[in-house]
Amino acid sequence: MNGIDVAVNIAILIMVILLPIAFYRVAKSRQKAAERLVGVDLITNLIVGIVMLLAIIEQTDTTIDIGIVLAALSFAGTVSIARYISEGRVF
Amino acid sequence: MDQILDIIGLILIFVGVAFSALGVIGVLRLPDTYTRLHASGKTSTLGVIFIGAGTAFILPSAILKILALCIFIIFSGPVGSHAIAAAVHRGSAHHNEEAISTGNKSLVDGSGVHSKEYIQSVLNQIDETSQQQQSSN
Repeated sequence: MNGIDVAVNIAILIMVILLPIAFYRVAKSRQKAAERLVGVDLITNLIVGIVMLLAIIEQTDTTIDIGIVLAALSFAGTVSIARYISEGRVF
Repeated sequence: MDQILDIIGLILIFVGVAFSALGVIGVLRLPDTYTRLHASGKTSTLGVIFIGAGTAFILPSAILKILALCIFIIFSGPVGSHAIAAAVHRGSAHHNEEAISTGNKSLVDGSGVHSKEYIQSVLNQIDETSQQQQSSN
């Protein structure tokens, strides 16, 4: 394990510590569904960052495909749930 | 030469981690949904882009996939934030205007989308309009 790996592991540790803090906002929010949707969107972006950092540890670019698919699915989910909140139906 | 690229990549990665941390702190600390959306929508997108740039410096074989991911995030992040903001606005803003025009306090949106100060200002506005109507009568 060289110096780069140690530094990247510290970065992953910080990102993983940020996840439950963002989840606290989703779980404890006294607000409507839109408030929780903001938190879920933030958590997904954090996970995409963690997946890209894992690609450095694994030394392979295949891991980044997971991030691409996760970003695409989270975009579709965010837009459809926002539409459900505002109009009462998705389609 | 290899080490210089690695150090540039690490600096970019930690800038991205700092942006992500700012986004999470903003979502945790700011008072209502609009300001939380303002914090998460900008900083989380920028955090992912900086982490991707750093990864591209350290792992040059992945540069095309990271470029595709970053371009997708740049387009999809603001669209998603705008969709959430439009949903919140359609759900609550009209109720508050209706409450001010009719003087009915039960229509005021107290579900927490707005901050306490804003809800208090709406209630004060209703009181003022009802007092004006009484004095004109």
